[in-house]
Amino acid sequence: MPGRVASAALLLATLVALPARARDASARTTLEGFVWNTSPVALQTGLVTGGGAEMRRLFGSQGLFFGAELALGQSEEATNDWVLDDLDGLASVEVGLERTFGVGTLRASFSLGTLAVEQLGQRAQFDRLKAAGLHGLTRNAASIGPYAAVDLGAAIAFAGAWTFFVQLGPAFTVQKVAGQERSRWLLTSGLGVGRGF
Amino acid sequence: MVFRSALAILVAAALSGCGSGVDDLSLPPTILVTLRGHVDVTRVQAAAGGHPLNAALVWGADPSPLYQLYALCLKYASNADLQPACPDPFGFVPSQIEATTRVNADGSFDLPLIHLPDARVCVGTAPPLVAWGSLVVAADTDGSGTFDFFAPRKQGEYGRTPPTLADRVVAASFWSLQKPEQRVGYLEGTWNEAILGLFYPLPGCPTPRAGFSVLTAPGMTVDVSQGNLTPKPLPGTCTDEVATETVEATPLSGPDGRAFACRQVQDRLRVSQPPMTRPGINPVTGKPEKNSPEANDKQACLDATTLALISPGDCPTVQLYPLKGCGDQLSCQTPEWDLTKHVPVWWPCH
Repeated sequence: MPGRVASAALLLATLVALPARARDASARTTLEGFVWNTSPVALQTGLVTGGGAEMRRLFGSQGLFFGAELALGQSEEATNDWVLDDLDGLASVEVGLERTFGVGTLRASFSLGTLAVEQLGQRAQFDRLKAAGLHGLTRNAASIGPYAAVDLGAAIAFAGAWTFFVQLGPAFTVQKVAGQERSRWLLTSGLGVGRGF
Repeated sequence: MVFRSALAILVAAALSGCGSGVDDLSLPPTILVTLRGHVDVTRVQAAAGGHPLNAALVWGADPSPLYQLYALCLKYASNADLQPACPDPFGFVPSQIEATTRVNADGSFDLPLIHLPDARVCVGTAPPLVAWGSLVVAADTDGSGTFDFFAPRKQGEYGRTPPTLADRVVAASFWSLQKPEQRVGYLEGTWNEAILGLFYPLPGCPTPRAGFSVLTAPGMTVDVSQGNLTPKPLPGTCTDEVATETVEATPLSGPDGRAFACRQVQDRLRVSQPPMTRPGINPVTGKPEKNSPEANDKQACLDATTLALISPGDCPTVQLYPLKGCGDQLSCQTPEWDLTKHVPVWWPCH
């Protein structure tokens, strides 16, 4: 569901952007919205899908930028006994460099932040078990840990101050999974639009 | 200033991982209920023959696939050859083996349940649904270490080949509606007598509670001779307890234990058109055909127009050849074949 909402937002933003003014090369601040995908921390076979927002600001004339990012995603997997629904929340700050070539921009960034995972577990056959008056059918759990990522992105300007971008990169986090602190390598990606101010 | 504060909070959170921790896909199932059982070891020792004892919760099947065999056995009740193949119409029909465990030296055993009974052992709409189970104790006579009613079929055996018993059933808490019993119940939703009441009926007993429970009943009787099929409770008290009450498995005689296991074989009657040559006999040589299951069957003339071939083995099956009839039906209005005027040459019944 969050993935669908983010996709709809992306489509809407694209439509709004079409009549926008010509490209503003002097923009120092960029706001971005994107569809966010990442590999899951705990549910090995799933895929976290969601959306996020980012604000970046250029400093100086060498393409140095700082930014902050918020993203939310969801993944669900099931075994014979449980349906596990993970809600991932990411908050991070980043530093990076970008270079503009005509209407295109390449960028690389390093992010540091925290990744929170809330897990809602429900026994398989929940409705039947509930109808039988049984208890202990749900469980909630959470984990918060450090998060670091390297992203490589490419953006292309259109309709003036608007850009369309993709980004991809590895990420690393440490989370408490199955009772143990575990380090996880993740692969994250983003697809979205931004607007310069 | 605000940006710096936010940055400080993020850094602090990043460096101090916390939370109860999430689970991965190896998360084990929670136990829904743990059934407690007991068997008087001294009374089953002889039957067990020194083999270790395994216990299991066995859910009961809908007995209707056996109805035709019941009807055949009732119709030819005086035929001594047929009777060994006849199941007890009031018997519990075992189906799904849900949980198994080794019986302790003192006869006690615990059976943790982590799954609900399958839809194939439940009767009703959804909900209400009901399933009835029996705590069964068997001697591990095949040495497999597991609870098995039947040995795996050997290569080359096919459907008509009767199965071979594996473990020896020595006790069960619920094995016949006509005997005192303790059964494990599972009720989903609210009890509805009209929908659920005919599935292993409990006349005179209170409504079972929702979820898992243990029901104790004195048994019932049906006076078939007067044409009244309404079940009546035997003298005694019915109770409905929580599922953690100890269930006592009643020792069974050898034949009763064998009959209990054999009722799991529901495909025990086949009705087909008599072949033109005697089944299992080579028409050219007149000798039994190798690998033909019919070659060793016992031939029983139920009447002049009905031949039964009864397989040998642990759980006899019946191959019925009526001169006039329909496939896999004891009776039908429009026969699919009628050989009463063209009786096969080999036909032995007169």
